[in-house]
Amino acid sequence: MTTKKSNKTNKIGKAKAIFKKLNNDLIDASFNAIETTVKTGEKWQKLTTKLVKKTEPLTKKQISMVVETAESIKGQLEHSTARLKTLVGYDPKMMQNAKKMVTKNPLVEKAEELKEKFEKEVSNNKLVKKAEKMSKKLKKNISSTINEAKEKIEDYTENAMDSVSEKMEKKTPKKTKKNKVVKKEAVVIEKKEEKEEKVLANIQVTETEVLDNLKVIKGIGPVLEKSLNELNITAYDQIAKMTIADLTDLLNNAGINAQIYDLSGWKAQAELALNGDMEAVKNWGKE
Amino acid sequence: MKKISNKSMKENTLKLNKIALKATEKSILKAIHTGENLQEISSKKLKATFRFTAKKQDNFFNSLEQGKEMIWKNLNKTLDFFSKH
Repeated sequence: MTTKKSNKTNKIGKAKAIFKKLNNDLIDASFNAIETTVKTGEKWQKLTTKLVKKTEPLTKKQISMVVETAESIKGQLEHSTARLKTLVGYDPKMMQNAKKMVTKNPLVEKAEELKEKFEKEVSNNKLVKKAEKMSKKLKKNISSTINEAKEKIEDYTENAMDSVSEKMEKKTPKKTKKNKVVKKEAVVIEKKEEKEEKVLANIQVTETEVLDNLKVIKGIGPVLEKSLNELNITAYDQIAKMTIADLTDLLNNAGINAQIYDLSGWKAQAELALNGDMEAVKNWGKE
Repeated sequence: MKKISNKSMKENTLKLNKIALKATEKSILKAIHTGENLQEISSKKLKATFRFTAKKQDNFFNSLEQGKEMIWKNLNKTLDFFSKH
């Protein structure tokens, strides 16, 4: 029994000793690791400080280089401005004196006074005021005539459209479907166009070698005379033979808006001119 | 097979650290040196260009002044000519 007990105690003691050793080894290892890391860290820190110190002169040199370049540029600019001044003969005091002399010169003051007077006189002049009024009136008249012409053209187009639509409605039967109505409208328009073409074709102008002054007739200007000549209308005789409808068709066919012109007196004037009564033609409309 | 002991681990890590430190020091010192050289060259070149531009500027203004003198001389001559005749 005693031997057994002693064996057990021996075993426990051995295990305790092993555990102690292990613990001591672990503690030593951790201490060593900490020591090495601290030492290496110190070394790295030393190296960085050393390198930073070495880079300091480089940065200083860079800064000095930048400053030197700026200074040299500034010096060159100053030098160039000074030389320019000497070249041009610029003297700031002289310039100030000259300015003062000019501004305080009695002649300049008088000139300014005269200028103001002239401006006042021009603005107060009756003729200038009249001219301004006239120009305003002219502007108003021109705008009103343009508006009237616009209204006339619009009325004419509206009337023409209404008449066409009325005629279409008259010709189309009342109780028909929409599609049929549209087709018939198209047919009617085509027929109308055909008729118009026939009418235009019927207006034939016989060419003559007589060249009369068509501008004598009221309403015919140089531009319209040219376009009439291009349509082979050169004599009073030709106009005297034509009706108002013929004339309107001719002008419209040539791309001239006949509604703008008063064609009612053209025929009578042409007849008078043919008879040689030019005074009556000249006084046309005055009576 | 070598035994991995506490001592050998420490020695190896210290060795490796030494090598790394030396390599980084060398590379950074070289970079600084080349930077310095480059800076010297660039500063020299800049100074040379500034000197050149200053000379050019002087020449330009000298020629302008000469031209101005010529014009003034000719002007005076012509004015004298017209005043006499």
